Amino acid sequence: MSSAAGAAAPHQGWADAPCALATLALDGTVLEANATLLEWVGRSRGDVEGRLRLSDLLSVGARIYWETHLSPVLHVDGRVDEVAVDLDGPRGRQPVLLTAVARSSAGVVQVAMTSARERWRYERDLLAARRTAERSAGQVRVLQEATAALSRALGVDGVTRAVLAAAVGSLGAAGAALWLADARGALALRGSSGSPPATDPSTPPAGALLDGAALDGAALLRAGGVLVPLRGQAALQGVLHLAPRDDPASDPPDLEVLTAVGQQTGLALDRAHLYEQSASVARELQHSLLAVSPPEDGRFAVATAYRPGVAMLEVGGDWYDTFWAEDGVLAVVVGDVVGRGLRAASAMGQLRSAVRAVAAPGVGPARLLSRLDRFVEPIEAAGMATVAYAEVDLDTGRVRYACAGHPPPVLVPRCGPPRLLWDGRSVPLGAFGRVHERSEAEVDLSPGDRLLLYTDGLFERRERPLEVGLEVLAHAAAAGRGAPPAEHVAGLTATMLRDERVRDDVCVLLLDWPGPPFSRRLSADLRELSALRHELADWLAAQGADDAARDDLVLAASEATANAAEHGSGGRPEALVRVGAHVEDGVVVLAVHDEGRWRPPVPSVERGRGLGIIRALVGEVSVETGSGTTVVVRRALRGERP
Amino acid sequence: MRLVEATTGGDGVRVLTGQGEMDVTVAPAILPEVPALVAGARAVVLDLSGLTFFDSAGVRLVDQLARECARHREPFAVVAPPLGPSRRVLELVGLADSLAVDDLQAALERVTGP
Repeated sequence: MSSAAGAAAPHQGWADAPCALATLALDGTVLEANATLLEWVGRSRGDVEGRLRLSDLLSVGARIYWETHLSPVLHVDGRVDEVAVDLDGPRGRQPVLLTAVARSSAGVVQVAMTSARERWRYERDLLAARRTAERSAGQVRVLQEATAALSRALGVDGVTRAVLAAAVGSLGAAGAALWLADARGALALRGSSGSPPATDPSTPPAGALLDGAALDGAALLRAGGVLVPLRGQAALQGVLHLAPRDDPASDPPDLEVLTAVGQQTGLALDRAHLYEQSASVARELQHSLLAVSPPEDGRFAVATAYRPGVAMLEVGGDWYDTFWAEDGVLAVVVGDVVGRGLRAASAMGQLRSAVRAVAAPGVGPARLLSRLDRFVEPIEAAGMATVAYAEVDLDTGRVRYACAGHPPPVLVPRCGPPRLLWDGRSVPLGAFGRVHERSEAEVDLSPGDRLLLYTDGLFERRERPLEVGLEVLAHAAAAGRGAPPAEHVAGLTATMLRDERVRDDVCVLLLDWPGPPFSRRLSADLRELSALRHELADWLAAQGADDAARDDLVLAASEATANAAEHGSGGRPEALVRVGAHVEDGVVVLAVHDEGRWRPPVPSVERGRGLGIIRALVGEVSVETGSGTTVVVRRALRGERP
Repeated sequence: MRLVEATTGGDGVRVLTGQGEMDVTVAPAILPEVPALVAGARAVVLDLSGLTFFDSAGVRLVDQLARECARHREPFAVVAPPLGPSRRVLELVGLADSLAVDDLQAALERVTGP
């Protein structure tokens, strides 16, 4: 052991200590270094002692730190404690904790350095672990949010909205474009959010389908964005194309999370397709049942409306129907099966067929409902279904009706206040108790009256009592009665459902009974001509004629009748003129018949004017001769004058 | 239907007012009275605004009155409100333009005008 000037000779323990020890001159020159220090810096004693300063043994960063900070502190304070610096060693940097004490009296600085390699590694691991944990927590949160949004989504539209919102939300993309595969696997742009990647909307992003990586389901970085394959169980459902944020401070796209979100979205699309298929089967079923046209007959008009429940893809079990109960007697039905979806739709189909099968001449509404009770017993989904059933005699206007737990039909007369038909009521079909008294009631329609059947969705609102809803409905039904039946129904549903985000399905059926055809006989003395005009005007109004059509047809009939009386009677006042009218496809066909031969009008007298006026009024006039003469005029019930 | 005859003040304008329905059962009965209805008046106004029905028989009455007035050089006008039954028919036979006015005031102005 050599000894340094002024330093006590170190004993053996100093030289072999497991930490690095050194004695420095006040200028930093290493006077003595122990074996551990020499080993850490990889130098021989001869190279170091008396030749190098401690700062020469430090890494570049530590050297600067020593010269600018530690050395001045040491001079002022006399010591520095546990400062982390790096020695420049043969195996790279050796992190140490350095403590130095200046012994001014002896003119030396004593330095001790312990290795900090393990601690450094520990701290680094700790930091890495924390970062990893934070990142995982973030990933889990993002995934949970995306999964929750996807599981709430109904149908493909819902999934589309959810994933596009998540893309620019928790997934942190600047924008997104969603491409979905059609039945043949071709991708089509379905929607976008934010500032989506600039792509041609007619062309899927390059390589989206063909790239091998897309097939194994992992998200890919591509120039201009990230492609996230959306794999379902069986096939690729689509591709989410993300545009990353330009902002350099934002995190780079997390491909792991995006891959997981892509898988979730693919499965959500699987579910959505299945759901839509099932809903679509139910919808198709219901649609096909409701699309059946009512019987064709000039003696009545039926208008219907069906509004599916909004916010739900599933159909309900509402239905309407019209068919012949017997010759000249029309059956009208509106019913409501409890529940939704395919089960309700198929139960509705069965029940609807059952009503048709059970209805027969002589059965009548009450017995029909009793027979339906027996029918619904084995069909669980049809239990507690409600039905309003009415049979209308088209010659007399007599209505027999019955309601099984169903809201009352509304009689909308041509004039006067509407009436809720509260009679003929009994419990819903298949209600508890089995043996039900089924009652029915009768009401007479006058020509031009209308009968309204509907399901409860039309008037039921949570915020008002049922009776109030029914009054509102009756009032609204009366307000629209001037319009043709189809417009009446459309206007009524629009009015009643104006403020309603409809929860339930709504079925509406409106029967218009214009009454029997017009038919009168007049004697040729025309004493009853004025009465004929008034009766015809009334009849025309019952058919739904507008004012102009009514006035024109009454004038034409009056002129034609006056002609017939003069020319067809042969001067016999007891000879008869027959006036008849009926409606064909919205056109009134008016016929005036006499027993004589029609004489062509002679110009310049009012007879000529009479026929001229008829022609000018109605456009279409024909004169048929055979056994007598018949003048036939045609004019639309509504609309512009010809 | 009936015709109510009224002569207004001293200006000699005779106003004939129709009421009810004018059709083939009533109008022809009035035709023979046309010369008497017109005779001695300075001008004639036929007010059809109160009618509920009007047909070609009414047109013949209007035509006869117009001819008779022309023969006596008496101004003649027909009150046929735009939405009434008489206006529609007079338009159809082409008499509205020359004879029909919207209300009684306009008719009086027309027959007494310069």
